[in-house]
Amino acid sequence: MEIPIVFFFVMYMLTLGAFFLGSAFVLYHAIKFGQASKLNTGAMSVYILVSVAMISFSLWYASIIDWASSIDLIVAFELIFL
Amino acid sequence: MLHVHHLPNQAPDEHLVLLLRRHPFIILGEIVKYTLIASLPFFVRFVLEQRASDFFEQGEFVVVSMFLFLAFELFIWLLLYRAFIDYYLDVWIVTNKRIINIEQIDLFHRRFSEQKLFRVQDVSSVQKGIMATLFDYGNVSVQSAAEQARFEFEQIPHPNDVARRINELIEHNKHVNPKNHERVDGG
Repeated sequence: MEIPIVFFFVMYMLTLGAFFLGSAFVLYHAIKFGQASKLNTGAMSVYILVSVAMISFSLWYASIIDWASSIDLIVAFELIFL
Repeated sequence: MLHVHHLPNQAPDEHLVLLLRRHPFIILGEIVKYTLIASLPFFVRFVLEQRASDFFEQGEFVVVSMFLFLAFELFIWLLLYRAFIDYYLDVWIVTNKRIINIEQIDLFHRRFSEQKLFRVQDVSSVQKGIMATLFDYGNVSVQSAAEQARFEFEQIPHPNDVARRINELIEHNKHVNPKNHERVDGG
């Protein structure tokens, strides 16, 4: 059973959407209810910077992939479990 | 944002005495927990290299596992930050007039409650467990008049000192406003 690997990229983009939504809620709480302290602003900055770095890396990685190929799940299963 | 120098519904002669959060050891424990979870894919990769080294020779499998890895790490990162926010937004404020309890129970569940010091009837502290004893953290319970809810300061540093300080404030309050205490005591 072959699945185009672009399917996994679409799944990843959906996951990314959920991540953005979760981040927006958490950052909203940090800004609305948190204090204007070094700890809060520092943690917020680190969170945003690391998130941007991870997402940038994933998008760069996606740009160098040949999306025309597909993956055989049975072969993958056999390679791992048999 | 919350400003500790501008307390909610602040009385003119009210000032901040204690601003309490959980002990830093609590958030450190969360960081260790999520770091261990985040390192799980490296362990899986190690096992796969031992069991099925051919897996990493297939370019497509590497691509798929890389996206799974990135999605997993992003969510662990989000959960870690959420744990920090949960830690950071749980605040107990003690002023010379009242106790304010602000708890972030869940992302969409926030509780704000306050208790006037003259209504407080009993303050007790509990340190339970090896870690709590070693790092000097524990709970402080503030019991007010029977029909009122009990306040619980959870896993705060130096609970015995905090309980003593609140008792001192209550005693000081009795001298400043004896009428309030007589009313509560039924005197």
